[in-house]
Amino acid sequence: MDLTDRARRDLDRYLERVRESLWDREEVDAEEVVDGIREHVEATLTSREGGPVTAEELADVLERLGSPEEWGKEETMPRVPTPPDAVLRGGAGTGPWIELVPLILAGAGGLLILVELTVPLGWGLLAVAAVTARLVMGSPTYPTVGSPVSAALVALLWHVSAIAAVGAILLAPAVLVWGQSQIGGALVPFLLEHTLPPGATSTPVPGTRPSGYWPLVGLLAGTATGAWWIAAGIAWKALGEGLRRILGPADYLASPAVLKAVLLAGGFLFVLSLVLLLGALG
Amino acid sequence: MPSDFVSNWQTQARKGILVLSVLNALRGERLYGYEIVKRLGDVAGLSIAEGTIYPLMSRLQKEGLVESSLEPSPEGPARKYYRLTADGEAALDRIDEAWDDIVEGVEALRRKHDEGGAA
Repeated sequence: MDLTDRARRDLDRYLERVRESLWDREEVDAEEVVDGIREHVEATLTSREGGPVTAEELADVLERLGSPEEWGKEETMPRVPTPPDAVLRGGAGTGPWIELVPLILAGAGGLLILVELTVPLGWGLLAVAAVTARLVMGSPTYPTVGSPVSAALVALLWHVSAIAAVGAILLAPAVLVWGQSQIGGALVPFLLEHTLPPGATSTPVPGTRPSGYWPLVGLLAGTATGAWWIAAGIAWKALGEGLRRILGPADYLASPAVLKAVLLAGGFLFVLSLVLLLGALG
Repeated sequence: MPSDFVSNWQTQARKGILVLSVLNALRGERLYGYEIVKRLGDVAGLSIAEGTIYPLMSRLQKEGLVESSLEPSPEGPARKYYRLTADGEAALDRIDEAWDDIVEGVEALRRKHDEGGAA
């Protein structure tokens, strides 16, 4: 179905509202409902003639579909929330795992801030925590959250975990390069060889680095990150709808605008860093 | 207050009637979501938001009363068609019996009032 850009944004926002209104209903498959709504919109508008579906035409259909937040009042009977102690007794599937996420996040934060040599490890834990949170909250056995405040906090965590996961994945090469250059990994001899003055066999003062060391680290990180972003952008595009489903309510992270920004920024960073790096090495 | 009360009652009444209506619409047929919405639109007094059907169909599937299949459509992308399972047919028979009992009982109360008024 061909939609104008505004109509497509409106539809995407509506479908996000559908997901958010259904995320805590374990008796309903939210993505299945989203598919049904898409099919309904297509069936309603397929018989019309003319160009792309406009936002106004779509608005008529969405108005008849109604507000997703109100659907529950017309269809479901009241649900009994799962009490926290029942969750901890193991009767509700993945509930207890969500308790680990804040601990992992706190541990990752501590590693990042307090122990600079373990930045890559902390970064990896952050990505794991974010992905874990996403998987747990998307599970059909995720327990019902009883209070509106709890529901709002978990809905917020959905977005935070998605953004943290995507951010951590995109910045991983830069973090790895920086970590390597700190802890004496395989990069350090290469970096020292190209930044120490000719004839020098060690850094001028033990524990410091030559003046050209950190700029070279930055250029290596920039080159690796730029290449990574280009590869990520290509994979992003290939995953398409699949990635939007994984991200759930945070599927704005897979929007065409974000994808374009990642590809452009990656290309620019890669080319600029590589040119400067080759100049520095040459 | 009375209009709020009536409005609340109508909302509560629709909850049970919606399931009854959807299952009856599917009896002996295979329909896709949009068709179900259109059929229910013909039921007098059952004015609901069309989107309400889709979470209901998902729930009925999970409860094993309805099954779905994706089939190609000549008008565009493949469509998901729904039909009753054997359990759904059996449940609908019992729901229809219960509904008939309820309607008969309520009608009897109304007739008694009408006869009392006429007398």
